[in-house]
Amino acid sequence: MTKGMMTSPALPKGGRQCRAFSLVEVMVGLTLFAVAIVSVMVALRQGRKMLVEPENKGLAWSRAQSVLEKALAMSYAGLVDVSTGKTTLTVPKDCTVNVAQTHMDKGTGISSDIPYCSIKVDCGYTEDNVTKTVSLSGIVPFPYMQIYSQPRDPLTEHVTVTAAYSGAPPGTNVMTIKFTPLVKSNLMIFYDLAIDVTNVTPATATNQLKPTDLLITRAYFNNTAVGIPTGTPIMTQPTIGNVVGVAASAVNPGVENIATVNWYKDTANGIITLKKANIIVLRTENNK
Amino acid sequence: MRIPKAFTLVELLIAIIILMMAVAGVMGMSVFAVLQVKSQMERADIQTQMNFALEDMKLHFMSAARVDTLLDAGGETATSFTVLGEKDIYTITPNITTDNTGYTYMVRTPCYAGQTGNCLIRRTIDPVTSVQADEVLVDARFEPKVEFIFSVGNPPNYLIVRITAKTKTAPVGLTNEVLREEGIRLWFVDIVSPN
Repeated sequence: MTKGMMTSPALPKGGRQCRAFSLVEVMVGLTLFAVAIVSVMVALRQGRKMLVEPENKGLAWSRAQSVLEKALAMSYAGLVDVSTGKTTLTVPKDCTVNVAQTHMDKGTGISSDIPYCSIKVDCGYTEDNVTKTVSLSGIVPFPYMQIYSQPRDPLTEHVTVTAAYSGAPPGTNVMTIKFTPLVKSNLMIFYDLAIDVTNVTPATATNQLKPTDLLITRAYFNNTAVGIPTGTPIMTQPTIGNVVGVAASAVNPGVENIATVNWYKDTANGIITLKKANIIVLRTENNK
Repeated sequence: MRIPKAFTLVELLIAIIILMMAVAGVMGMSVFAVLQVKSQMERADIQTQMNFALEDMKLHFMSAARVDTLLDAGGETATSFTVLGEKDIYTITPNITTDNTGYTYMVRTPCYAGQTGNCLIRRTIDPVTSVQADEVLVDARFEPKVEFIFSVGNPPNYLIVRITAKTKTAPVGLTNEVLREEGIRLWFVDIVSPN
């Protein structure tokens, strides 16, 4: 063995060589690892998306359905504020509602068309970073039967009558209600009124109320008398209630109609004051 | 002459540590992936049960002829709701009360005797025999809560039902609370007490 051989750092021939990974091998390994990681992450992300998006869509559908159910529970007249023309419905965030009073146009005029409220609810949700919309729609038909009422306030309307009524009907002592039926209708007008009676003094005066003196009421529709005048004794029965019917031929659909009740006493004796009064109109659709 | 060369102790230790880290990383990823899938399945399950509960309420409330849990017209929230409705929900006879039965939707505490956890149930009460039968709508493992809400301004026959429940785990980016809320309309009766 020579001195040179002793100091040589080289490995003997046929010996095992130690090799590190080359840059290419490391890069390939890292790439494969990254692909695996990214695949897993993409799969998880896709899974979450597939979970969340139907959930968001379902929540939007729930919101829309809730608004529509609320609208369907409301009345035709209650859905739209007449003064503003806008719906009275309150809607949750991300939702809009469009309510329109409309009618099926048969081309024969409003009196024969069928009015209804159309309701369209849109609720938004996000899918793929794009805002999408769930839309539901429904209708509330114009009611087959409807009531209009008009109570009079005796605290602010102290209508006092001393003289016998002698003018042309319906006169000035009236209860009035105005309404607009949208379809051909039959009407029933209900009214009741109560009066305070004050007799004159002294008791021997000739203009004292007599048991035969009457309180007369009569209903008018669009200034035309309907039914017959009704009289009740003032002294013994100072309240009166009555019902009269109005045929569909007298009712004007689509425009304002006026129902009026005139009340008066048939004598100049005594003094009567309106205490309380109500007028109610029941409208039923005339589909003949 | 061939000189065999083995790993040194240091090399072995480093290799073992790297291997352990790699295995731990892969295991962690696997566990994470499994948990994510599991929580997604749990969330889907909870949604299904809540939908089922709301659908059940809609079907039974629709034909209610009497509401025993009247809510305040000024706005009130109840945690249970009882109605008298049709025994056969597909045969609606609002003018006949002899074929009706009582339904109460409530959270039963505890869901099962001797166990913890509450569940959302529908309790059917026979008005003649007073026999009760409960059906679980949302499992106790989801800790469901239910609210029946009447708000001022809503129609008197309109009810908002809110169900909240919790999953054990939550997918990344989501909370573990799930909420469903729907409006339900009753046809034959109001839910508010008259003033």
